[in-house]
Amino acid sequence: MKNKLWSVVQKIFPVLGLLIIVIIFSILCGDKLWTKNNLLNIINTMIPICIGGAGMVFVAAQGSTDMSMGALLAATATVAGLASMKLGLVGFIVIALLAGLLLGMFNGFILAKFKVSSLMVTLALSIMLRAIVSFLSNGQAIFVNPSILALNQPVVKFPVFIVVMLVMWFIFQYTKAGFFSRCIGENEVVGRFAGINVDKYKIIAFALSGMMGGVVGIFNVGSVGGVTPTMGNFFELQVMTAMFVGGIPVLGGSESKFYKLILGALMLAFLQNGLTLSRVASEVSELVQGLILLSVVFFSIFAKTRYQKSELQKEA
Amino acid sequence: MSAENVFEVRNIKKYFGSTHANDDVSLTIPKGHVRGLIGENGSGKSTLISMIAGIQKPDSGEMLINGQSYCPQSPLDSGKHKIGTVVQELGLVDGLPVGINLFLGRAKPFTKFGVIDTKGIYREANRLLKEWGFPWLSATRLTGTLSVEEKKIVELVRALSLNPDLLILDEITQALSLNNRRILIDIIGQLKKNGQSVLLVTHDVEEMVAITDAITIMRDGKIVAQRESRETDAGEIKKLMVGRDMSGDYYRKDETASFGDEVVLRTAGLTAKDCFSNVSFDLHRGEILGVCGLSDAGIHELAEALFGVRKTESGSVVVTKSNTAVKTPSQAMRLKMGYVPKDRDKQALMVNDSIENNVVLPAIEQVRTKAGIISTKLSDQLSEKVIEKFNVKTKSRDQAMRSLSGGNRQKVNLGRWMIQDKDILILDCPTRGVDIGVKSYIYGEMRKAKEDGISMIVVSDELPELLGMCDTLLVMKDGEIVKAVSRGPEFTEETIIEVML
Amino acid sequence: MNKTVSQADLETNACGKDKSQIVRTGIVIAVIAVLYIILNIAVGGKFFTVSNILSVVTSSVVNTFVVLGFCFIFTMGVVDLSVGAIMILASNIGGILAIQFNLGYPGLIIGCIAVTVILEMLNLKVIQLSKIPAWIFGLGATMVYEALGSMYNSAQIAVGKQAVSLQDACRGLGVPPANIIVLVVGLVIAYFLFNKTSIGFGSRALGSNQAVAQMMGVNINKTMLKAGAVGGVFLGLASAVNESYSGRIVPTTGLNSIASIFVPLAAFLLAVALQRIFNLTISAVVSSVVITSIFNVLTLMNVPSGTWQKVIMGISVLICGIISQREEKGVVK
Repeated sequence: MKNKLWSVVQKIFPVLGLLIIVIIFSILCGDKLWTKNNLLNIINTMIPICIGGAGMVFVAAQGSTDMSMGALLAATATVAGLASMKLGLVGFIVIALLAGLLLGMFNGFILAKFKVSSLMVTLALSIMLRAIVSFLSNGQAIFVNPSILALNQPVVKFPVFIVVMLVMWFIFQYTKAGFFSRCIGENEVVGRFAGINVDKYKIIAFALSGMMGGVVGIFNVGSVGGVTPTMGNFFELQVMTAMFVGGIPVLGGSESKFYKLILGALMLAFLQNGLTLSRVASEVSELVQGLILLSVVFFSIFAKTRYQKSELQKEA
Repeated sequence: MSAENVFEVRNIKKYFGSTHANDDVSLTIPKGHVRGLIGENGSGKSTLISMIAGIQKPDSGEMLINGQSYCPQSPLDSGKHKIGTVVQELGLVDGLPVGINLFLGRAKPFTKFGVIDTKGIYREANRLLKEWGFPWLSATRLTGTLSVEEKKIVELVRALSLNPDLLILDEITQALSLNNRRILIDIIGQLKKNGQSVLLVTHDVEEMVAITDAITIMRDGKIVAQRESRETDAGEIKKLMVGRDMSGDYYRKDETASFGDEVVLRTAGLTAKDCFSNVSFDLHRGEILGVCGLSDAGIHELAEALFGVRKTESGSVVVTKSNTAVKTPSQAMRLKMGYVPKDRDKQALMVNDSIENNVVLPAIEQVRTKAGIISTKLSDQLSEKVIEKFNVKTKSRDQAMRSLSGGNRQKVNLGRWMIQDKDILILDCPTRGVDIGVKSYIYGEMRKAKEDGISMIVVSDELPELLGMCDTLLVMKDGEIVKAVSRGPEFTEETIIEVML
Repeated sequence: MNKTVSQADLETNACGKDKSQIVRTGIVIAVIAVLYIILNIAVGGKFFTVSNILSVVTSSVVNTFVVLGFCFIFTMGVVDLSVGAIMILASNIGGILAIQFNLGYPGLIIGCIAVTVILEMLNLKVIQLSKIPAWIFGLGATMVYEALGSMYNSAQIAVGKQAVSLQDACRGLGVPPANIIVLVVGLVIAYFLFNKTSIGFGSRALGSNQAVAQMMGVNINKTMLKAGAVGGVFLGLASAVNESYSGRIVPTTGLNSIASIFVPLAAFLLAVALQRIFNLTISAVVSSVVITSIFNVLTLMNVPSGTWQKVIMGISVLICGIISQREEKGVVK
C-alpha cells in the first residue's frame, strides 16, 4: 500500500505542483492572472525556458550540469548582433547557432577529456563569456539590424517555437543522442561496457545545450531589439529549476522526460508571473525561487528513495 | 570446554535475495589454533568472513567469542572484541599517511585536549612496523603512494596492533612477495605460541596445508568437510573443494573439441600493465574458448581488454573477417563482438531502468530504422522477444531491473546479446550468482549459439563449468598464459588445478 | 638470502621515491621562481618594489583565508558554492555590529565568524539530512543568502542609506601589518588543525574514501560538522579582513557572489595539485599568493579588470582544474 503511495506521489508530483501554484495565485491575484495579456506574458516567459531546457535536458539526463547557458546566450547574441549590421538576419541566426554550438562543444570536450566536473567547466566559461560580453559591448546596450525584430511577430515566433520543440523532443526520444544520454545518467560505466562512446555523447549533449542557448539568444534579441550586457543573467538557473520542478531527476537517467520540462517551465512561468502580479520584491522572488529549488530537489530525492526502498522490501 | 574455544560460529545463515550465501554454517576455533578456510569463488567463505568482521550481519545464528555472545555492529566493533581482520572489502584511506591509517578511528590514546600527538603516532607506528618485521616501511609515507603489497602489509600491521585473540587473513599471501610471506608465517607462529588464533583464507592449497593446524572446506554456502592438516594433503583438499555433484546433465556430452578451421579473432602479444602480459591466442568459428586462473591471474582484465574497455600497452586484438584491430568498445560492437562483463549490477545493467531499455542499450542498431530513428515498435518487439525466448519472469517489459531476481537479471543480461547477430561473444562469469536451473538454461543457450557458428570466449572462476562447456581452456597465472588444454583426456580438474596454482 | 636482497631493493625503492620527491619539490620551487622573474620583467621591474609586494600580500590575505576554509570544507568532497554569499552576509553583519552597535573590532571579527560558522554548519547539516547533492544545494543556498543580503540592502536604500560602511573605523585589519599578523596566526592555526587534530584527518579521510573511513570508525556526521565549523572560522576571518579592507561590501544578486570566490577556487584547485609536494595548508598559501600575483601583474600591465582579467580568471580555473584532475580515473559528471 505504502509502496503504491510513493510511486503515485512520485508520478503526479509535478502536475500537483502546477495545480497548487495556479490555485494559489488565482486566489492571490484574482482575475489579473487570467487576462489575455497576462496569459501571453506567461507564455512569453515560458518559451525561452522551454527552448533552453530542450538543449540542457541532454546534459541533465547525463547527470551533468550546464551553468554557462545564460552567459553563453548573451555572448552569442552579442557577437551575432554585432555581425548582423553587415550580414543581416540570416547571418545573425547562423552565427548565433554556430557560436553556441562551438562553445557547448568546448564545455563537453573539457569535461570528457580532462575530467574536470561540468559544474566547474561551465562556471569558468560563464565568467569568461560575461567578461567578453562586457568588453565587446563596453557595458552598453548594442543595437542590432532592425530586420531581426521580425522574429518577434507571433506568426513567426510561435511556429518556430513549436517546430524547435518538436525536433528536440524527437532527438531526445528517438535517437541515439537522447537514449545514450539517459543511459550515461543511469550508469556511465554500464554505458561504456555496452559499447557507447561516452565521450562523444557528452560532447554532443553539451553542443546541443550550447546551440539551444544560441536559439534563446536569437529569441531574446528578437523581443528586445538589441543586446544588453545583463541579458540571460540567472537564466541557466531558471532552466534548471524548471527541469527539477518538473520532475527530471537531479542525477539524470531514464526518468528524464521531455514533458516534465514543459510542465516545469509552465510552473515556473506561473510562479514568476504570480509573484510579479502580487508585487513581491525581486529579492524576495529570488528567495522564494531558491527555497522552491531546494525543497523540490529534496522532495524528489526523498520520494524516490522511499519508492525504491519499498520496492526492495517487496522483493525480499 | 568452551573457555578453550576462542571463537565459535553457530548455525549462521545468510541470504542474498534467493541465493543461499551461508547455509547453516558452524565453526569452532580453539585457542592458539591456526585454521584454514578454503573453497571456490562463490562458496560463501568471503560472506562468512565479512560477517565475523562486522561488515555484514547474519540473517540468523549466533557467534561467540571467549564464550560471550558476539554480534559486531561494525569492523571497529569487531576490533574492540579483539578480532583483527585483513579483508578485501576494507582498505586504507589513500589520502592519509601510513601511521594515521594504522590508528584511524582509535587515536584516543594519542589525543590530549583534542590535539593528536602525530609524532607519537608515527613513533608508535614505526615501532609496530619494525616489531612485526617491516622496518623499511615508513609511517610518514602517504598511503596513496604505496604498492599493493605495501598496503596489504599496513593492513596486516593494523590488524596485529589490536593484539587480537583471533586474526582473520583473507587472501593476503597472494599480494606478498616470497620474503614477506615468510615474515607472515613467522608472525603466525608467534601468535600461535601466545595462544592467539588465526583464520586464514588463501587459494594456495599447499601453503595452507603447510601453515595451518586444520582446514575447513566450504562449497555452495555449506561447510562440507574439515581435515587435520597433518593427516591430509593438497590433492585431497582440492578434490573436496571442487567435488560438486557433477551428475547434472547440463554440460556438453561430447568429449572432444569441435569447431571450424576459420580463425575469427587473433590476439597477439597483448599486454596491459600490472594485469597481464604477452597474451596470444586464436579463436575459431564455433569454438568455446575458456579462460581460467586464480583471482590475481588477470583473466577478467583480459576480457575487458579484448572488448576495448581496458587500455593495453602493446599487442593487438584483430577480428580476422575484416582484418581490423579492436581499439574501442564501440568499434568492437561494429565488428560484431558482444561482451557480458563480470559485475552484473555495476558494469552490465542499469539496475534502476526498465527491462526494455536494458535490452535496447547494447542492441540499439537492431531497433533503429534506416533513417537512424529508434523505433518504439521494434524496441518493444525486441524486449518481448528476449523476455519470451529467455523465459524471464516479469510482469512487463517496463518493470525496473532492480525488481527482478538475480537469475532473471542474468537472463536479460545474456539474452540481449545472444538475440543479436553477433560473431563473437565474450562472457565473463556468465553464471555468477544464479541457481542451478538458470545455469542449465544458460548452458543450453551457449550450446545453441555454438551450433549456429558463434564463437565464445568464456572467462570464469568456476572450473567445472569451463570443463563442462569449453573446446579449449587457457590457464593463466600471474598474467600469463601458462597452458592451453584441448577438450580430451587431459580435460580434468586435477590437471588444470595443478597448472593454475 | 633472497630475503635481504629483496628488502634492500625495496629500501632503495623507497629512497628513490624520496629523492624524486626532493627533485619534484625543487622543480616546483624553480618554476615559481621563474614565474616571478617573468612577471617582474613583464612589468619592467615594478613588481619587486616594497609597496607592490605589500599590496600583493594585502590582496592575497582574503583569498588565502578563503582557500584555507576550502581546505577543510571542499577536502571532504563538499563543493559548497554558497560560501561567497555567506561571506557577503557575514561582512555586512560584522560591519553592523562594529559600527551601529559600537562594538569595534571584536564586533566585526566575532560577528563575521559567527555568521560563517553558523551558516556553514547549517549547510552541511541540511546536506547530510536531505541528501541533496552538494553543488545543487550550494546553488539554492546562494539564492537564499543573496536574497537575504539584498533585502537588507534595498531596505537601506528605501530609507535613503546604503549597505553598512565602516567609514574610518576598524580599517586597520585590512592593511599591513595587522592583516599579515592575522594571516600568519591563521596559517599556524590552520596548519595545526589540519595536521594535528582529528578534524583535519577526518575531513581528509572523508574526501579520500568515505566508506572505508566509516568502517574504520570515523563518525561521518560529526566530522563534517566539526570541519565545517573550522572552515567557517577561516571564511569568517576572510569576511572580516575583506570588510575592513574594503569598508563596504555591497550584497549581490543573480549568483554574482559565486564569481567572487573564483580566484580562491582556482587557488584551491592549484593547491590540491601541489598537495603531493607541500602540505595542503602551505600549498594553499603558496597558490593563492601566486594567483594573486598574476592578477596584480595584469593590473600593473593595465589589463582591464572587468573584462580580460576575468577571462584569465576563468581560464586559470580551467587550467588548475585540469591539473588537479590529472590522475582522476573515475566517473566525473
